[in-house]
Order: sequence, then C-alpha cells, then structure tokens
Amino acid sequence: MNVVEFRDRFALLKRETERVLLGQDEIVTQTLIAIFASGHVLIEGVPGLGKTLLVRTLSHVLGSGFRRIQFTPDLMPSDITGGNIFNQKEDRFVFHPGPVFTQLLLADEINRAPAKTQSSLLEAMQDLAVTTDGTTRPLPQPFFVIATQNPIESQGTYPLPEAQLDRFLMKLHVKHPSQAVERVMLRNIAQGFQPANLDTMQLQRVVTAEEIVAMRHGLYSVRVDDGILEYITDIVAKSRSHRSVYLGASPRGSIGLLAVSRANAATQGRDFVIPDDVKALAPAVLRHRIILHPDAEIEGISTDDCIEEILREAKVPRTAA
Amino acid sequence: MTFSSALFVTLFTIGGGTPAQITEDLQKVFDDESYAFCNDEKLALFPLEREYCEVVGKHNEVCPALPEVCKNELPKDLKWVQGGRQRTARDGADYGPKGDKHDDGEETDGSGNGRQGNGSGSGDGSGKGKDGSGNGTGKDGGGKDGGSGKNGGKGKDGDSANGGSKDADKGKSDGAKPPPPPPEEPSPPMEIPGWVAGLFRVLFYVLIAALLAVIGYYIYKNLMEGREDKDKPDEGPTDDAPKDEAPEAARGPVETDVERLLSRARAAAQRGDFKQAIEDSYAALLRRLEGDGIIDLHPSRTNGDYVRSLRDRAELRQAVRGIASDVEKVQFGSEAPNPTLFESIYNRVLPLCGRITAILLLLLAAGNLSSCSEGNDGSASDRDRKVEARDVLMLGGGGVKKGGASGTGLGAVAEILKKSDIDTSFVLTKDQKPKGAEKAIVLMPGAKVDRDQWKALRSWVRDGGTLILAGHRADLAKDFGIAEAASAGPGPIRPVPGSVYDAGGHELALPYVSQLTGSFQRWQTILVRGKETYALLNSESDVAGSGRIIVFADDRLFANLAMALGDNASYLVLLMKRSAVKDVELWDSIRGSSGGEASGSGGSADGEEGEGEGANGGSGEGAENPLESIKNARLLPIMLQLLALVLLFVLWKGTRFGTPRDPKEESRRAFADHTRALGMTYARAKASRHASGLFSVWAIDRLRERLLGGARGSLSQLAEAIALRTGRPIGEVMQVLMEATGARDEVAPPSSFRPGVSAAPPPQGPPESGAARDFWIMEELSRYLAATKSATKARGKR
Repeated sequence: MNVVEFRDRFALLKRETERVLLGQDEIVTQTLIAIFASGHVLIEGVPGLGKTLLVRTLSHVLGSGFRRIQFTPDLMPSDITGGNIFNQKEDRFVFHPGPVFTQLLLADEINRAPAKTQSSLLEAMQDLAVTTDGTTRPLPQPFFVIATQNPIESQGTYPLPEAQLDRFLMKLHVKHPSQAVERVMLRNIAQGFQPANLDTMQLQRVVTAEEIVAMRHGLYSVRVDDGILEYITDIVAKSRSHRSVYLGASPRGSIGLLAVSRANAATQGRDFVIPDDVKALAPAVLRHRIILHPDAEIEGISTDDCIEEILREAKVPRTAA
Repeated sequence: MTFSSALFVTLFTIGGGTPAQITEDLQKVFDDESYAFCNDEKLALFPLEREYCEVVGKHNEVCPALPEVCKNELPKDLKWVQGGRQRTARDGADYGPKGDKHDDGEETDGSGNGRQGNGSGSGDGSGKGKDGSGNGTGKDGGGKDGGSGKNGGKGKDGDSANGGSKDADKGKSDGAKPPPPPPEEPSPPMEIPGWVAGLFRVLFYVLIAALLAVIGYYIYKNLMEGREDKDKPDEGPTDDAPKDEAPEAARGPVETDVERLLSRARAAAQRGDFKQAIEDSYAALLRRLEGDGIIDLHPSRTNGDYVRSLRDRAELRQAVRGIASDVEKVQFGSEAPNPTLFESIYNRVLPLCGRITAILLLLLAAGNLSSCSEGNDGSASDRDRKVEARDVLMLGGGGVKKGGASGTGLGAVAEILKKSDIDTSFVLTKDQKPKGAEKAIVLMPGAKVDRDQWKALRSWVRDGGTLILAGHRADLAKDFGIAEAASAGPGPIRPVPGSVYDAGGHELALPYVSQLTGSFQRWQTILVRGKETYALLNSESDVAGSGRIIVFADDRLFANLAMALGDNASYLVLLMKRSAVKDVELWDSIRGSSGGEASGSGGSADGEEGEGEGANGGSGEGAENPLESIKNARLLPIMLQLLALVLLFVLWKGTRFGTPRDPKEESRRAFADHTRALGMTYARAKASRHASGLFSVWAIDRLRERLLGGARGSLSQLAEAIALRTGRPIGEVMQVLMEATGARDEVAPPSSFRPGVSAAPPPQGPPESGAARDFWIMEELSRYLAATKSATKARGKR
C-alpha cells in the first residue's frame, strides 16, 4: 500500500471515528497513528471523556477482533492470559485462552489491577505472544492494546511499573472538549444517540485486519533521512541529560518515535519524514518514558515541560536558522 | 618700454617674478572651470562679489568672462546665501534696497548684505532704527566649510550683527548722513560657556568609553561562558556517547543577508548545485520574514512552526507552506533537485521577498516623508536653506577648491603665491600658535584669535615674523592707534613712492570699501587711494621687534576676484617677496569664515542712534563640543528619530546579548529539600507504611546496638531496656516495637523471613488511620533513639 492510499484510508478511518467521538481530533489521530506504527496506547484522562468510547468505536471501524478487560484489584494474570484447566473427560489439561487473545484489547482502568496482573501483559505487548505453563502461543495479528487510566484516583490503584509503561508507544492525555463541542454532543444525545449502543450509529468498517497489516508494512517505504535520525537521537539523548530528568527515554523510545514519525508522514501522503513529524509526536512518545527528579516534581515541573524544553534545545536538521 | 616700466620690471625681478610671468600664471589658474566667474558668462555675482565690478574694465586678459559676468543680475526673487569676512559700512548701505523714505522721515526698509563666503549657509537679520530710523533685513552668506550653524548677534548704534565675529556698521539710508564710525566693539557671539562645553565634552567621551567597556565586557563574558561550556565535561548517561561535531563545524557561519542568499542561490544554480540553490532560496525567504518580524527564526523551529506563525496571514501562509513543502521534498525526500524545481521555488520566493521589501520601503518612505514634512513645517529657515543651497550651486558659488573658488574665496590667492615659490597654507585659528621663521601670517577677518593667541602672534612678530592684518582688527590691536572708516570714493590704490613695497608702476584695483584712519605716528604708509590710507607698515623694534606688521584697511586684496584685477596679484607677490617670506599661512577659522550676517541698518536720518540685530546661519561654523555640533547641524530631530528607532528595536528584539543559556544548575540543595522531596514522593505513592518499615529496621538496629550491645536479644528484652532507659511504661514500648517490627517485616523481602516466625499482629496503637499510625511509630522510635544517645556515649567512654 502506498502512502497516498494510506492517507486516504486513514482519513476515512478518522472521519468515521469522529462521527462518534467529538472534539477529540488529536487523540483520534494519534491513537490511529500508534496503531499503524505497531504500538500500544495508554490513554489517560479523567472519567467521562470518552476514552472507552474511543476504543469501542475503533473496534467497529478497524474491523478487528475486540476484547475488553476491566482491570480490578482482584484480577489475576490468568484472567488475562488464560490458563490450562484440567479436562476430566479428556483427562488432560486444556488451554483456555484469555481475553488477550484478540486483536484490539481494551485494558480499561489498567492501574486498578496490582503490578503482577499488569505485568501479565508485558510479553503480549512486546513479543505479541503469551507463555503459559511453558508454552508460548502467538497472538493474532494485528494485536494492539489500548489501555486507559484515571490520573486522579489513587485509592485502590497501582501505578504502572516502568517496564510496563515503556511498552506503550504513546501516552495520550484526553482533555475536556470545548463548550461548543459539548453542546453538539448534548444535541446528539437529545436526538437519540446512545454511546452504549454503537450499533445504532451504523459505523462503517473501513479496514480489515489484513489491511491494517498491509498498511503497517507500507510504512517501511517511508523514507527517513539521516538528518531525521540524528534529530530523533538528539531529542532522546537530551531527555537523558536534562537536569530535571532522573531517567530518560530508552532506545525503545527512539524506535517508537521513528515509527510514529513515519506513520505521521504517511497520514499526510508523504513518503518521507520531516522534522515536523518528529516534533509533533515526541511528547506523546516520550512523556511516559521520562522519570523526573523528586525536586523537579516539587517545583511543579511536568514531563511535558521537560519535553518542550528539550524540543527547544534540539536543533532541527537543515534549518535555515 | 618706458623708463619707468623698465625700472618696474627690473625691480620686480629682484622681487622674484615678472609681471608677464604672473599674468601667465594667472591665466593658467583662472582657466580652471572652478573659477566660474572667469569662465561662465551666464554667472551672476553676489553683491559682495559685485563690489569688484566697480574696478573691472571692459576687457580682462586673465579672467575673460568677468566683464560679462558683471553685467548679470541675480534674479530678484532669488534667495541666496553669502557670508562675509568683513562687514563695512557699505555692506549695509550700498547693497540693500534703499528704504522708502516716508513723509515723517522714517526709513522703513533697508537691507544689508554680508560678503559672500566660500561655502554656503543661511541666515537673516534685521536692523531697526530708532527715532525715525529705518530698519533693514539682510541675508547673509555661507561659510567656508561644511556643517551648519546659526549664530546671531545684536549691535547697537547701527551696528549690524555679524554672525561670526565681525563687525558691522550701521546702515546708510537715503538722505541720511552716516554717523561717525562707532567704536569698534565686536558683537559678542552666542557661545556656550567654556565649562559647560568642557563638561559635555567629557561626558560625551565618558559615555562612549562606558559604552565600549560594556560591549567589551559582554563580549568577554560571552566568550568565557562559551569556553566554560566547552571545557565542562558532559554529564549524564550520554557521557560516553561519541559526539558528532563534524556537521556543526562544517556548517560554518550562517548567512543572514537576504540579498546575498538570493545571489548565492543563483550562483549555486549556475554551477549546477540545485540542492544548495533551493536551500538558499528558502533561507532567503525565511530571513526576509524574520527581518520583517513575522516569524522568529530559531534552530529548533521547524517549517511547520514557521507556517503556523503565519496563521494571521492566510495568503502568505499558503505561499510559504507550498514553498516549504517543495523544499522538504528535496531536503528529506527522494526527489532530486533539478532546475525546474529550483526555478519554481525561486520564482515564488522572489516576489515574496520583493513584496515585503516594497512594503518596508514604503514604510520607510512614509517615515521619511513624515520626518521631512515635520522638519519643513517646523522651520521656515530649513526651506530657505534648501533653496539657497541649490541656488548657490546653480550660481557656481565654488567652494570645491581649497580656499574656495568663488569670487571672494582664497583659492586663486594661494595658487598664485605657490606659483611664485611661496608656500601657502590654510590654517584654522583654533588653538593655533605661530611658529617658524621667514613666514607671513595673514590674519583674515574671520579668524578667531583670542588674547593668548594674539600675544603669541606679537611675540612671534618680534622674533622676525611678518603679520598681515587683512582688515584692521580693532578687537585685538587697540594699541595700534588705528581705526577704520569707510572709503570716500573710487580710485586706484598705489604704493607710496619710495616706500619699501614700491616697485614703481603698481596700480591696485580694489573696491573702495575702507580706509585707515588715525595718527599713524610710528607707522609707515605703504598703500594709498588718493589721500586715503589703505595699508600701513610697522617695523619699529618696540612694536614689531625684528619682524613687521602690515595692516590693510580691508580684506579685498585677499580674494580670487582681486587676483584678476589690476596689479593686485603682482603686488601681493612683491609684498611677500620683499618681506623675505617663503611661507604664507592664511589664518582663518571655520566660525570666522562662515557666513556672517550682514544686517543692516539703519541709522536714522538725523544720525541718531540706530539698532541692528541679526542672526546668521552660516554653514561651516565650528563647534566647541559635540552637543553644539549637533545643534548647529540641526541634527537634533534626526538624532531623536534614530534614538526612537533604536529604542523600538531594543523593545522589539529585547535586550538579550549573546546566545541564550539556561540558568546554571544548582549544584547543591538544602538537605531539607531532599527530605521534603522524598517525603512527597512517598506520600504521593501512599507508601507511608513502607517508609515506616524502613525506618523501623534502622531504628531497632540502632536501639539494639545501644542498649543490648549489638546482641540479638528478644523484643521483650529490648523493650525492657528501653523502658528502663526512658521511664516509659514497658507495655507502651512493647506495643511500639511490635508495630515497628510488623512494618519492617512488610517491607522486607520474603527471603528475609525466618521460618517459624510469624508476622507481627496488626497494631493496636493509639492513632487509628494508616499514615498517621506509621508516622506515630516513627516518632516514637525517634524519641527512644534520642533518649538512648547517652548510652552510646557512656559505652564509648568506658
């Protein structure tokens, strides 16, 4: 699939998603970019902003298998991965796959489960496989996880471990819609729109699972200049040496930034990456990979502030300045 | 050849040059087109130059156009500028339109004119007579050198103010007898007091020095900071990463000039480097946009950032986005740069640069127009100055030659003397001291000589110098007993027979302007016009020592026009030769030679007191200090505009100097900050239990160490010891220790659990909530530790 087809298909996907989700253009775009860049997305936002609705809508338009796991404190790893259960009739253990064996997995409120349960997704997210009782089983393709979490609640929540966070390609912040958008939203509700029942929206299935894989492969044709590679490494290196940062982005962050930059270029019908692609998506890719010094946190510095500063320091390749 | 002619030639030869030779030299000198009065028959002379027309015949061998020039009249509506080196009674009387005499005998109008100077300038003045006097206005002339200034003076008793320094006589009106010559008192020039001028001069240079020092300091600071940054080793995990500095070094200095970038783009295209050409074209566009303040160019900004900066300019944004997109295809894409693409980009960049330039030019022009119109509106004299300056040029006023090529300039005088092997130089009188032997100093009327200089001149004369006063200087030579009066009428000037400067046969043709009066007891008359004395010589030892002083009634001999007439040039050469002079210095001053105001005026019909005042605007006046210079040059509005522009520029660009840098990282923080940060982190993570456990591990170990000597005693033994030491109930101590142990076990890794030892029961302590209870445990343990400090000390002593 060439970049022009990619762009058209992407635009169609976006338009269809935005029929349901109003006023979240950036989140929709970046989530789709992450999906096509073979990554997973962590969406953070206060309750009621449509995080789950977004994923459910995507499950409709992407034409992929969809499963949802509601993370709770008593959720066990086997509840996710599945496990071997003894079948008395057959007198043997039979593997019962968990909900992870799907294409689009919604890990709703992922930080409500303890770390050991969260960690059960590590292998799935990285290696696209699940190992139980010594047997590794591949996950269906394409596989992507969209997790949501609430930043406000702290009672009964478990912060995601760094290893888990690093496996998410992007962390997106959902913001409140504008007043005008909210008005339209209310009008739609008043006219009978039911978010719980998306079937009434008659959403079009824009791509199939195979097409998603093809689109992912199409991104390899997007050219990346050496200057862009230098720009990416410069940004990531600066994240490690920034004075407010305790732990900077990992090489996985660089790889992720490159992948999303390519996808971003393709969404605009470009077969080459420009610095704008990198700069636009760097905050989403890096913000959850950076751990701040405690004193920086005390000073009220956020990871987004650091990234903004890093981007101000990183020299854009082939600039006229 | 008659005997007298032969004798004249013989004697003159002794002096060093023949009349024929001098005539030939004069012809060569006046062949120069700079001397327009000898070469341009359409030229009109200024009134002061026209004085010489009285003695110009119908034919002039050395200055052929002069007779015709003398017939031309200046346009009546023409304003002109002229400055005089000397004002006489005639300046105010003969050349101003006569006033209309009213029935009551009042002279209503008159005008006086100064003598034309060598440069240009402007000014006006007016004189007003009392008691039925007339009043007059006059324009004056220009100065010798550049610059401009304004000066004015006010005289009484018919004195007209003389802009520079010179005298003016009262005007003469029709039917009025001129009053007797007033005592010669120079009009006091308006000057800034010396101490103020000195103060401003010092302030000016102090400011410049301070400015340079500040600039130097910042440059030094910037360089030092850059060096420190270079020397400072990089910190953090990327320390070992190889630094790729080559691309930075290869970049070299960044070109910022739009025109140069465009021409560089064209040059690159011509040599086939289309990639560079495209990049330069785009850089030119960005630089232009930055120059116009539309975008802010920065190495960290992308093309998308620049396009977004143009969100308020939809058309420009569209154009820039299109260009940037094409440029990126070459920079980051796979599209090979080619001539078509370059032409496409270049042709889109060029109009954008040009359009913005046009807007800028338009704004600039508007600003200038506004500025000009303000200036014109503000000062009528400025308008006059422009007209005058143009007219002076049109009339060929000269001034391009050293000493001036106008009729009243000194260029030809100097050239003739030089051709007769007499070195001639122009000396500004400011701070000059006479020196050297075999020299003559000609003190021109405009020369500003202070008392000290005059004393020095007299001393130099006594040592053998020749001082020639071109016009009597009553302000300096009061002890000479000489006065100056208006000449009674026309007539040739001849050397006194038998006098030292009489070579026989010389006949000077000069305008009848002034004569010298007085007793002249110790003076020898050397030139006379009829019965009037025109020049005097004093070589008495008590006055002139071994030198000589020559006083002329006026300065008319020392003018270009004079050299073209009669035997003036010959006589001047003879004068110098017979004075054994090899070097002539023509002393003048910028101020003195500037256009003086000739204001004329009016004496009353009955000879009563008159009053004159005037102001001149001679260009070329010298300034005593920079402030005065600015004031004289009328540059204040421009300076204020420039200042305002600089201010705006600073406000626009900020006061940043050098590369912006992050503030220096704090190397140390207070321990309390670290503690607080750590506490906040634990609090945010709701890990008070964890913190309590860690602290308990440490505290119990310390307590065991202090009270049980490090022995692994039971918890009850430890509780007993603590209770004994602190006086607290053993039950309470035991409770705290058990809770602390429980907290410790929670944070300890499972591998540290001892088999058979169960975790401590849930605490039953005073505070109910978790975090408060954890904190209570830590506080209690801290108290125990504080109370058992002495145990450690005591054991240490033992």
